Amino acid sequence: MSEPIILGSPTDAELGDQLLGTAWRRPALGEQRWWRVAFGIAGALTLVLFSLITYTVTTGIGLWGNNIPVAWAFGIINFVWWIGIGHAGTFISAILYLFEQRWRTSINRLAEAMTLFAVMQAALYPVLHLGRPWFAYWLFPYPSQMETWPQVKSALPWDAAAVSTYFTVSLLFWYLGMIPDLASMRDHAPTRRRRIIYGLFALGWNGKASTWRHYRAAYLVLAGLATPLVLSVHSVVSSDFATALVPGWHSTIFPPYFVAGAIFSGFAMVLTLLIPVRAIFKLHNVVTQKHIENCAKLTLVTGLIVAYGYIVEWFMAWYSGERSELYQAWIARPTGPGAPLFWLAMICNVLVPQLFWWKRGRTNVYLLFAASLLINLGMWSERFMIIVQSLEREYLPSMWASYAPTWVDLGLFLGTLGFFSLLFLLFLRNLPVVALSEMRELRHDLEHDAERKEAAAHV
Amino acid sequence: MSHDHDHDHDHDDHDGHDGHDDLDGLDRREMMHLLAAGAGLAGLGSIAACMEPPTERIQPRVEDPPELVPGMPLTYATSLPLDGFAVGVAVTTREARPIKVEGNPDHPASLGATTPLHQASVLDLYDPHRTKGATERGVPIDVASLLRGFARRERIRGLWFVMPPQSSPLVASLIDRVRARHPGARFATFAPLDRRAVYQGAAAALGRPLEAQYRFDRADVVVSLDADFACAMPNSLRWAHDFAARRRISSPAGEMSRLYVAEPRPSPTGSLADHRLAARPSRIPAIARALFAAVRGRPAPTGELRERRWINAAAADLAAARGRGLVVVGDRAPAELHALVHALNAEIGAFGATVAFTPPAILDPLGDGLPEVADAARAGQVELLVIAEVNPVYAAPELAPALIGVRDTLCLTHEASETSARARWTVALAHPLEAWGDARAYDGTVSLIQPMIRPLHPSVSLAEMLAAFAGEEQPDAHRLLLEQHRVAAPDDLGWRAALRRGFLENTELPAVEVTATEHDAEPAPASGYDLSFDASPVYDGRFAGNAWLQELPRPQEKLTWGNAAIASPATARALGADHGDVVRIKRNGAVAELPLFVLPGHADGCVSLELGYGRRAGGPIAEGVGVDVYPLRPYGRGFVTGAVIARTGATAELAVTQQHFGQDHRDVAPAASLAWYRQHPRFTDHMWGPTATMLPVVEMEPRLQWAMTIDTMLCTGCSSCVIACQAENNIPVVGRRGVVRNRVMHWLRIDTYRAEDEGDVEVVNQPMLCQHCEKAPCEYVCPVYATQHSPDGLNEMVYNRCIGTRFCSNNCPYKVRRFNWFDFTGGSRGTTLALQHNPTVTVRARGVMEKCTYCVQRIRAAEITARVEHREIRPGEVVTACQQACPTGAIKFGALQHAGTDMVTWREEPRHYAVLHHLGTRPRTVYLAKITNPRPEKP
Repeated sequence: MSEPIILGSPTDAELGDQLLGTAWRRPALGEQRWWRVAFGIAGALTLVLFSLITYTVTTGIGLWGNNIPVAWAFGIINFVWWIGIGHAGTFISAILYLFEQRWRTSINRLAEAMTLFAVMQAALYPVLHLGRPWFAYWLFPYPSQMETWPQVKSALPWDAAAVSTYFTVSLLFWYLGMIPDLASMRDHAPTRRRRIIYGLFALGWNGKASTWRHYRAAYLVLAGLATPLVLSVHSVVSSDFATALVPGWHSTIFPPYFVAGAIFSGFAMVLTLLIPVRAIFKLHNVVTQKHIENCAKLTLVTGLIVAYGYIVEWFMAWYSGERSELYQAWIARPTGPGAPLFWLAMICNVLVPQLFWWKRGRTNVYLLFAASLLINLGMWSERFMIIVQSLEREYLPSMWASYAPTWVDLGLFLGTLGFFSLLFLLFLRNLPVVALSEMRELRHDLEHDAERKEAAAHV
Repeated sequence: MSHDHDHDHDHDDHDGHDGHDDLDGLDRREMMHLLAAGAGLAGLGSIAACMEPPTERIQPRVEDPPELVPGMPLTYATSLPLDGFAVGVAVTTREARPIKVEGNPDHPASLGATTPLHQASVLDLYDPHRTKGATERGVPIDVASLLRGFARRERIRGLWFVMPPQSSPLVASLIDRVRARHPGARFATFAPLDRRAVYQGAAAALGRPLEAQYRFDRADVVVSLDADFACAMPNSLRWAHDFAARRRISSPAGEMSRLYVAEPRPSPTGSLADHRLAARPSRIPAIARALFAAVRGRPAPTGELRERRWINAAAADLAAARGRGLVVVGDRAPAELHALVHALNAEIGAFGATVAFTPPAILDPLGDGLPEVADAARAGQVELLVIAEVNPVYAAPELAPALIGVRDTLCLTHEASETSARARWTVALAHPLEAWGDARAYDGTVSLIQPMIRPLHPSVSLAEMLAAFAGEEQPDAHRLLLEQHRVAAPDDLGWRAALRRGFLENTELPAVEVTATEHDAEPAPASGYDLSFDASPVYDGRFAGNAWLQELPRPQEKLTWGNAAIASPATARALGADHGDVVRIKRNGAVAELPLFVLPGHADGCVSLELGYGRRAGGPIAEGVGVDVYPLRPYGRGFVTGAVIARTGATAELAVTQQHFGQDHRDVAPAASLAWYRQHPRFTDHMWGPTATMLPVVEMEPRLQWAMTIDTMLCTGCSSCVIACQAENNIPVVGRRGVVRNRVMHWLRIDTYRAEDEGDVEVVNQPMLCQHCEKAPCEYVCPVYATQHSPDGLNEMVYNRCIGTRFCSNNCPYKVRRFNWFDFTGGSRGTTLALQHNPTVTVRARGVMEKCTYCVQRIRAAEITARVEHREIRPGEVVTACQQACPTGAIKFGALQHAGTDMVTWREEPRHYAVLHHLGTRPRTVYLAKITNPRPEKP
């Protein structure tokens, strides 16, 4: 660890003041102009979202641009995109925790919040895109009197199970990790009303050693549970495609390729959120250059896996000798109706991350921020490419057709962006964005390490 | 017209709602209500009251029912006339509602098949926008009193009738009676797709206007000069059947006929051609002359190479096949060309062998026409004009001003038309399914029209209208018909048998001996662009209110909801216009703007325009769809020359159901020449046989396993099957926007693949429907088991279980699954349209998938019947709707165990294949590769 992950040597009290204070420091976030504007826009888009959900459910899925052959389009693209974004949070908080990566501590809260909110957006789509969304519960194996069960050969019940499990575990993990901080909030909040609210959510945390011991055990167990989910959720999502016959879907590379893509897009989104949050809350001492660089490195690594996935797809299409696969990979995607999005995906997902080979690319926050936005865009385009472009050019040339979204499609997508932003803004306003208790512990650990190193040097 | 409740007949027992007799304690009225609810008709109130069988004796086709058995269909034979020619049909009724039209297998003009127009006619019956009752200057009046008023008048001066060509013996005698009562009454016939030139040509060559009776089943060489004989001519159903009989080969050793087609626009017949020549219509006479000369040993001297080769090859084949050759010319051709072709047929020994001549079924085919009416009107000699069943204000715009000028016009019309809007009186026309009458088939067979249902609305038939003018105050077509055919009583056994059969036996017109005098067809000098006028799926515009027909893709273009200027790629290049660019077509001061449709295989220098669009009246379905091209067409002409075309700069969206016509090296629909097939009989063997699998092969259950075989060499693409499927299976229409969005709902579509080879366009039509894969990719992806396999090999949809993930559609390589994007069927609820629904097929709700079921309702009905009768299902007992409608018999359905049936033996032919066989889906639907029979040495 050459570069520091905490700058300076803040005391526990200083850290507490800095990190908890985001929730109540004056002027409060809710009184700041930028926050109000952002909240207003996000709120308006959220209203759009719920209006369009109502419109779709009452009128029919025909309001979307989907057709035969492109029976899945924006709904599933957005589902995969959002759920992919969610992956970085769990990766950071669970996998890096198990691997004792200390730098995760200052960004895990934010990343987990992002995960949770992204999964909420993602989970809307599989329900909404159904012809009869009011029967979405048939995807779950509930004990029905008709003794009808979901079909386990289909990827979709697994999808429903994976996503709902993921959401539940992520929520618990996030909430459990936050309990000590909620107790600190309870103890330090300026008003009685807040103390009561935070107190309720702190579940009577008392800070005793035995409480800490139970907490640690529970946190470790949840981290252990969450870790396979990082791999399983997107593997299951990828099987929605990989188990199908569709040229461009029918591929064994999909599970790792999808997981890498998910973490890739998730880290991009972490950067998109972290860079402004760090600037606004002046978190440079706890979210250091080191954190930003590590995120960029992981983006690069996962980006390379994604690029490898593309190459394998082209190779396998050629190697299969199957005309439909060949046509899909080599002709339809680069030259077909959705070709601009294919090229956008290639540029954003393959070329842009190459910036991170250079230190400049990893440390210039403006560049990083722009790159992260492009990667988000690129990953959306990739899902468009996989889902829509594949369906546009299937086996029978007689049924080749193209797809165009409607205003309802676009409105719903913007609406989920708004709803996500709304939730995130509320999170910034009301909860500590950095895990304080873990930061304090980390600071102690680092001090301890330094002392030990010093002692060893003396000996 | 009289609907006196005469209870003294067989139908008494099911005569609807006014019965008072109790049925084992269950009130009769209550039972009818329950029945209605059971059929999904609850809440239809006043409509249900119309759902009564006619009170007169009508005769079911098969047998006398002791009474109407609720839930059991009854089939009646009747006839549907079109421009005078009747085709016998068998109409299925459910609880006294006609719901499905099938061909009458015994009728010579049907042989069990139907056209799309027949299939769609049942929708016209229930059209909510039909005219109802009568009006005088827009004010509703009583039909009976209006007729009574005319019946009481005598010696009306200046009385003219305009009607479609008629063949009805009843109408013929009524015309005589009207003439007797109103001396000087004149009867003109008008059909926008005029066939006068056919009779003029016959009169010129043969001495009188005779009808050619072709025998395609005897012709080894057929030359079609712009004649879509398999699809668009009056006797096409019969001809398609006969042609197929001489065409299909069951093994590589088989012999098949050879077909030469010269035509401007690729037609269904042209898609079967072995040698097809794209030729503008003004060129056809020159081709015919050259052909005639070549038959006599003078090879074609002029013309481009392709044309010369085609002519010389055709001539050589015709000369070699003396007595087994046939030249057919299309109805659009000028009279001189018809005359020339008669002479040519005489020359090649076709007379008496492959063509015979009979007097025409049409009454007075060269009698008065619309121009005579217009002349009289201009001269002020028309005082009362009765326009029946035709719409001249729309379809004859040149003559319309003269007709509009007539003070008193009475219009008998199906819908509020351009003509009826200007008439003093309008009277609703009875649909043929709710009227009595008769008409002759193309061969002259007197075919009977009997009603399946009492008129839904107050309406009269043409015969009743004429009877009123003949002085009958209460015209009753049933009585008139009995009188016409000298039937003493409705119970007469011979009459009942005739009704059951649907026609009077041995009434075809006798062939006459003729000789042809030679005539020369002077080729018309061509200048500018030719405009060639075709019938459209809505025919001449009279069916424009029929949504099924509006949404029926054209066989080659796959265009729906409107027309276009169809032209060749070279013509498009010459115009500097692309597919979809709007072009302005001018001729003699008339202008029309249409989107250009670029169709490979179309003749250069010529644009094909379809009639029947741009209706300004006719109801919400008809109005504003497409562009009216009648103004470009001089009265009665099939084509004109000298048009000027330029692009406007605007573009338009074409609502098509297929956008890509190449096979992209995928061998989806293979084709080969007969010579190739003989050398390589197993040229499709990579498309059948076992495929690699890691899974154990599932044994079929020991019960009947259903399957289908389709011979693509017989498929013309006529699309009768598409509408038959729509009518049978309650398939909704999605409208123009829906088609543009690729949301058409047809369970059965016809894929057309074109391959261009040195200017020749080779076409394969491939009816595509659920393949009922034994290893169906749709089934394993459904999360809720909404699509599953039945033990008898059907891929089934469980609508109630479907939640609409559409995963099945994505995973269907054939893309035959359809989705209810909106509540498509809600609009018919509570309207007469709901009466058409087949009660044995679920009307699907919003948000569920649907697809071809192999007409599972028919399979199950047959199973129930067989079980009741303690027997097995017989081979051929189950017939799907598409199979039943097919004029060439290209579709065969049945059980794999029924060895010896066509379905089974066909699929053992070496040229069979499964579409996308390599995917391992094991489809139950098997195709036979298209075989063509070009002259061995390429001409």
